[in-house]
Amino acid sequence: MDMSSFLAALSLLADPLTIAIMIAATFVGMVVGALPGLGTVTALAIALPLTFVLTAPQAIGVLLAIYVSSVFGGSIPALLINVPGTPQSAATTFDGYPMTRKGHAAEAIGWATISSVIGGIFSMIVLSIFAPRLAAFAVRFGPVETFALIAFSLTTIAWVSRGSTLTGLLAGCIGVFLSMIGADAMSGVDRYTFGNFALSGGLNVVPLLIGLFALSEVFSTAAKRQDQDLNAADVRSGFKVAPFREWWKLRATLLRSSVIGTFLGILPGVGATAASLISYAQARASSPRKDTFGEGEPEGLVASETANNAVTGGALVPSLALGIPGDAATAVMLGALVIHGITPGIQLFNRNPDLVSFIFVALLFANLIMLVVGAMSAHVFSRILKVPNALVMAMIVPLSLAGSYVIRFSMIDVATAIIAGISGLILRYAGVPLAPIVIGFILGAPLETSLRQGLIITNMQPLNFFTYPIADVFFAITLGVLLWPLVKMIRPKAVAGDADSQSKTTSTELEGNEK
Amino acid sequence: MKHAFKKLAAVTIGSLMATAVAAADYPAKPIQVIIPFGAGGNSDTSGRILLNGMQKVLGADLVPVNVPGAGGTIGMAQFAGAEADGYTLAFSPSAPTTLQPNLRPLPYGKDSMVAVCLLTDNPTAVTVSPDSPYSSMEELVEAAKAETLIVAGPAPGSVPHITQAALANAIGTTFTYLPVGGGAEEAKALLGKQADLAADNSAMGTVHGLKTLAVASAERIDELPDVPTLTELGIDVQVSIFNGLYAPANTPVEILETLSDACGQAVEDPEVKSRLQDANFIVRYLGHEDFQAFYEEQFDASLEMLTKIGLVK
Repeated sequence: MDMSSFLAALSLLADPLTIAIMIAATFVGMVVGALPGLGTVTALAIALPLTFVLTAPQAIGVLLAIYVSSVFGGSIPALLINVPGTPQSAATTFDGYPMTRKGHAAEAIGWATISSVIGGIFSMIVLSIFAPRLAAFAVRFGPVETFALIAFSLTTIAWVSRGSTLTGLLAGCIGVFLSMIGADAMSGVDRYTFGNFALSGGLNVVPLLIGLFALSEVFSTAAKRQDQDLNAADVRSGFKVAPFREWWKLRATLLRSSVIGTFLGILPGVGATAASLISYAQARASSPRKDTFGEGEPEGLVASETANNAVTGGALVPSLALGIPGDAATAVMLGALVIHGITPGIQLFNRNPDLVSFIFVALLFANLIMLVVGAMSAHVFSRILKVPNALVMAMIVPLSLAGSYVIRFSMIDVATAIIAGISGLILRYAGVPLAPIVIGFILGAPLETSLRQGLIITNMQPLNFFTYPIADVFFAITLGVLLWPLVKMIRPKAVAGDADSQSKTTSTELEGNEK
Repeated sequence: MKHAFKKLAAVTIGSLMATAVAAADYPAKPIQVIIPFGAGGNSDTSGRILLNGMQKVLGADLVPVNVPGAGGTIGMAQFAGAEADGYTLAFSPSAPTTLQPNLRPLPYGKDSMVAVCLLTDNPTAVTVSPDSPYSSMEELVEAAKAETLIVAGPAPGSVPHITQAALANAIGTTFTYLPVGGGAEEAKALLGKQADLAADNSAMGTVHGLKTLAVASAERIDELPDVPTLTELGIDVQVSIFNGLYAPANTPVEILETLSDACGQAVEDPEVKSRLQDANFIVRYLGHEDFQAFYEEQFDASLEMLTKIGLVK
């Protein structure tokens, strides 16, 4: 981005109408993101026809504002009522909701908003500096490399499993199994549908998440028969940002989560939901406070929120530089660009540098508006905490079911949510962690697809997978992570006592390799 | 947001109100249009442009509802089961309407729907990476006979899948089919050298900067005047991907005509036309009766082709 195109971009942005509609779009994106069932893609699709009347820069500004703010918007109900508004916010509930239950809602919103902005801006910087080079890397990332990356990502299940790793793995397998329901992507044959046609489309992640996390929480609260109202005096609603020294302590987490989010955003097929879960797991594995994770630890919340917003800039890298969308949301944005007569691709950078610069500047600006709108509306959102908990819980049920229904107007999704809710309650009592189920479910489909695609291109020779150097790096890390506990067991106890510093070494190694 | 409420309102009203609304008052409430693929794809983009144009003509809301899954069949099954009152329509590409019902048992078929209007019709085309060793269709055919080439495309049962099967059959060879997903994923697989060719929409070359070797249409297309047709090269393969609007079977004729006319007026709208062309669609309008005849002909031709290449026994 040279100076003249930067100035041209600023002048495009300095139009009062552009700024006004971007602010409005930020608000709309937040609200749509906050409503369960209506995610980022829905928000963008709703806005798409409205952008027909706008100029190309205005349309881009509006869509970028909706994109980043809807990802953030999903975290608001995740924090306040334990219902992830979008799948990307699933990991936000783990520490965000306990924080709210301790009466620290204002702090939770503060942590979430600032981390989202940091993740968003980090990825925007990566996008603006490295887009063309990173895009070339993303293209070389074929099925074999994707398979290796996902195999590595699955090892994070071990880190998010509280207690027994074995039950964690079991939960992960349940998730992978659930992802296989429906028409097989490679052959079109129906699997595990029991002749039910509606199931041939597979299970949707939204009702599964809503059921496992939100409904099972409602059921378990009801089962306890305890009135858990927050003391009105304890509810500090609004927006409170932790002092700088608190943030400084989390600098490693912020950087790592930004890198994870951006990196997974650039590579198609993984997405923001997996990014925030993996980032959460990484933070937990390397934190000196790993015992407080799940009980309202800011570090967990920061890890999730930084990563899911860092995906935004990452996913735009292949979208702008190659015309290949990084995820479903950027696919809608690409559609909008094409309708406005702009063809993304490497030529865009040569032919229209002003517009490319504008995209970067608008993305930065969208993140900043999100900060202001988030801070201003926090008071309004957190009013919900003044409502007696019994009413909130009762409200979550219809909200969850309606949210499941609107995804594709099908009762199968409502049934999925209810069954997932009941199963979630049983699994909670059985001490089986729920997060690995979601990780397994989300990564199950790309794991299988990339494996089978990899087998096709290697002519059914799995050993040929090791002839791909990028894949080898990930296989090596995976092996290291899996063998590490065994190494620790064999080593003398005196060394193993220093477990914290050891796990820190592992994570810095991983970080180094990921960069 | 306004649209989200409208969407919810449309569904609520649609399910609560009695459906005996006189055809003369049509449309008296928002019309739900099921798009059987996700937002941002080809059928979604063209569908939204059309609905936006028809909305102006009809003075009623046409609400797009994306119901993706199982190659578009989930959405089409939901549509085919709806009341034939003109308030639930579908905007679909050709695979869920002409191919899928021939390939496997589905809760809908040719007789579950009536054609309202045709909007776009693009031929499929053989595309390769810009730095591919094959600079002409002849070279590609020669290579395909010597070794097994890999074709990237969407899930089996899609138009590109059938196109490559027909192509392989016509030149007397077989390809390895690598299902990666639609447009962008195919382009990525070609650029990343994981696949040798793709046989999707003719717009793909332009959109993703690929080399188009041949188009699968009867005549050369205006968009790519220098690219030969497969037929010219002695390979008898003609397959197109068409997007059109459908209504459930038994929808009153007056309603079909109202919709078909509105669709025709929308296509004449220079804004709608230029948006579709900017998005690399070849606009081809056919009204209710012509499109119904075209649809039936395409359905039978698909069955014949699928039988010939051995996908239907």
